[in-house]
Amino acid sequence: MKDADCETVLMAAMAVADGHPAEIETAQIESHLLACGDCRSELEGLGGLMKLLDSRDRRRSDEDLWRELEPRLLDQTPDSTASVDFKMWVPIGFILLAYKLIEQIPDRHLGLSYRLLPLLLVTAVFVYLKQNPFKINTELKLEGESEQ
Amino acid sequence: MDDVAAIGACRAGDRQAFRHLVETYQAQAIGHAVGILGNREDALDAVQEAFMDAFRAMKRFDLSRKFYPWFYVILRNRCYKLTGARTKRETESIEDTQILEPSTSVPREELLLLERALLELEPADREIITLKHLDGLSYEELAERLQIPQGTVMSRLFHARKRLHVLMTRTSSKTYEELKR
Repeated sequence: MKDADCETVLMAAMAVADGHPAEIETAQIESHLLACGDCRSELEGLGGLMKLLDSRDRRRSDEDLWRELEPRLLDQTPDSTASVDFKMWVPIGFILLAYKLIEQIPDRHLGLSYRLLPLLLVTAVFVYLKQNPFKINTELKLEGESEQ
Repeated sequence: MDDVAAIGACRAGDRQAFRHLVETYQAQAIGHAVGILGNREDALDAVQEAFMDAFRAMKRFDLSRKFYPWFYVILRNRCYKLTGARTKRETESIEDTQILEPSTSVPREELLLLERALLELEPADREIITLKHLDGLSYEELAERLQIPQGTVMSRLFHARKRLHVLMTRTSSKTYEELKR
């Protein structure tokens, strides 16, 4: 029995346990828990896990980053905001401009390979950037979607 | 030197003043980056880059706020950039991935199970769980750190905990099966 009500009640119960006001009344949570064994056992399991986590600390770190950071800061000034490096786009812009100019010459038939040049250029850019902006990410999960 | 004085000096171009901020917050930042990335080497890279970003952006820092929550936003941006770009490392020792401080008060197996389950979580789930339970942040503080409304904190935290619970149960039954063989 895992409907939306169970989820709302469990979420509210966990929030109350965290000391945060729940979106539903405490009496409503209690009456649901009395009637729903699944929620009771899930809450118990989650509670045990939370207790274990609460008793732990982050692993302490003693690395000193300053020695590596100091030389890197020498050529930096505050607010020298990271600027986009336009230099890498200059050759591509130049090639595209040249392509357009050649295309403007009347009575020229340069063949299919010439027509495919912009496509090849764009593909080369994607390969260079190691990104495909058209790729669909199938691993995206909706907010609240549970992992089965 | 306090944070405000150090930030003021940094803005005036004093690089040594930045040392105060690095030395004050590096351990905390590394812990948080490991909490997101689940890997020490990547975390060290992310923290270094975040400090560089923070130094460059120092003039945009609002002196009425605390330094670390502001820095944390920069740090998590660096971490998530890295999670998108990196490929899984082939060999990772426990030392490389350890999020929790070793302890004698909890059985070693239980701690290992928890570590393993935490590492299997998505970075965003691991981040919210570690901030809540290891740092003890309130919903309000979580909302500020993660830049999301408190209602979303409640729901994200709940689902992250549920996933961790499922992973713990799965991992422990797997270990039990391994022991039986």
